[in-house]
Amino acid sequence: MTHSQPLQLRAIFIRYWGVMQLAIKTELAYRFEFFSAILGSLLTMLLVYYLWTAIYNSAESMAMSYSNLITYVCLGQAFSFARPGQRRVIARISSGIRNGNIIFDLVRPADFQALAFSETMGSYLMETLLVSLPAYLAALWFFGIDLPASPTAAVGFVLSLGGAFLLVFAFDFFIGLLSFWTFSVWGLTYAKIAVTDILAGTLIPLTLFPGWLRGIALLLPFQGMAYTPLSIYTGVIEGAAIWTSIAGQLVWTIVLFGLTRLLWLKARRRLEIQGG
Amino acid sequence: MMVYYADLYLTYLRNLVRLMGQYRADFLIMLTASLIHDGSTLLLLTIIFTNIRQLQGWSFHEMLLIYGLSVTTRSLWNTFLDVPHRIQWYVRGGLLDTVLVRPPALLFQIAAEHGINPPAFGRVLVGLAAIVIALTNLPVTVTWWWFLYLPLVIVSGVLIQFSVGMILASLSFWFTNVQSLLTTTFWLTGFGQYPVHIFAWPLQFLLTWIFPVAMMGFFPAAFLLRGDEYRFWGVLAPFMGFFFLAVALSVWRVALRHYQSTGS
Repeated sequence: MTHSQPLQLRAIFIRYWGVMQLAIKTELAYRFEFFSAILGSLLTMLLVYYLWTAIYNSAESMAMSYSNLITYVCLGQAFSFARPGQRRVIARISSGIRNGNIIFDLVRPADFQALAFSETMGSYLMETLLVSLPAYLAALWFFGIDLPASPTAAVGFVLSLGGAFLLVFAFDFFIGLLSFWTFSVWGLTYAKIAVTDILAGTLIPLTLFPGWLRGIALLLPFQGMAYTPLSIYTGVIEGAAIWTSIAGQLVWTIVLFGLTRLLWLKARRRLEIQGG
Repeated sequence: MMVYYADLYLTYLRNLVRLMGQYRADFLIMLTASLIHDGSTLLLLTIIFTNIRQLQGWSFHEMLLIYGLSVTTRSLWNTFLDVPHRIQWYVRGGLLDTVLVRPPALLFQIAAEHGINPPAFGRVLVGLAAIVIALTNLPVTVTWWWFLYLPLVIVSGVLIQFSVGMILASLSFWFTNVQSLLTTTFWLTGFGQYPVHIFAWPLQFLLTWIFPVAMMGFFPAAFLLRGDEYRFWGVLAPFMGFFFLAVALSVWRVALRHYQSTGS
């Protein structure tokens, strides 16, 4: 009987690994979407590049150096945190509730949250490899953005990218669950993008915010979704602060995971399938 | 004929209102969300201008006018005429047959079936408010022809988006996935919010002639503010949309002839 525990773990691993692979294959089936996702992020990068260059040239003085600023905003577009693939969690739950398909997820012999996680992980990995990395290389090549500030910054950046993913997933799952109460989450998704675009510091580095707003943004979990990895990369966050800010991401993730867990247990009981 | 279509449109709208009633909470959230979204863009502009006094010679209120025009046109299109995004649902879902066999005009049906998009309409109001605030804070004298010029240029802008969208949507008869192409193209509308000169020349060309989003915000605003310098562009802007519409409709006609039903 001593073998049963590891065996079970292995079975669990195989199960979720399978789900993840399936997500990867689904992503690959939409090659056209990848192409346009890369094109889209290059376009937006182009926009922010020219916009911030113009802003920098019009400023008498600025709290950031030009190369730091351009690196920050271009990188922020390359590793955009509001891409469709990551919103899939929300879409999956809410459309599942609307058309009743969520029932198929619930009867599967797997935990729903873990299922959604493996799936999102799969598409996130593919997106990072096929969209973010090419866009990043293009940014290095065409816009001449800086390399990571130091080897430690490079390691910290990769780790905090993982942290940002966990945060975004936890937050998206939370929003998706709200559709048990509101039925469709279009509005919430929209609001979420607007709020995170500002408060995560994707559109404007938090460094350039007026003091009071920066104070608020730094207290909230959103900064971990973009500002933290980007500032580690550019060397604005350095030394020991790298590790404490990654720890901060993890703490927020745990808090959000805990909340969604509670909410999920409540939501499951509330499930009401539309139509039949 | 007009009465028939107006009546039909109202019927579609009534259905929509009933549907909204079913999802009331979501509708309210959506409305708040779209206000937050536009608030965030305005916040962006405000934060940028806490760091600078002028963006390459354009002041905050001048930028606000460009922004207001651009948002108004974009949201009006979204409110009433977002046909291009819907066409492919019809084509892929096999629903096009259903619409084709009904008597009213095809594009009208697709536009009317989903009626208006109320949150987008909320954004139209935000855009108009931005225009009014900008104009009252700028040292300009509003003359009578502005009241003809502004609506005309806005209509032209709506038609530009509709037409470019239609040309891309026509591709859905040949390719299965046009959605991402449409989305990508419409990201370009964001470029229309800024003075076109801040971009490199190939981009300027793209934004002026291929997908002329600069004709929807920047050029009309620049014409009103600095007439002499931008006369040519300012006069061209209201006609651009009609020219694009003519092209789009002929492409659409060719595409439709190519349509083959899935048969099921």
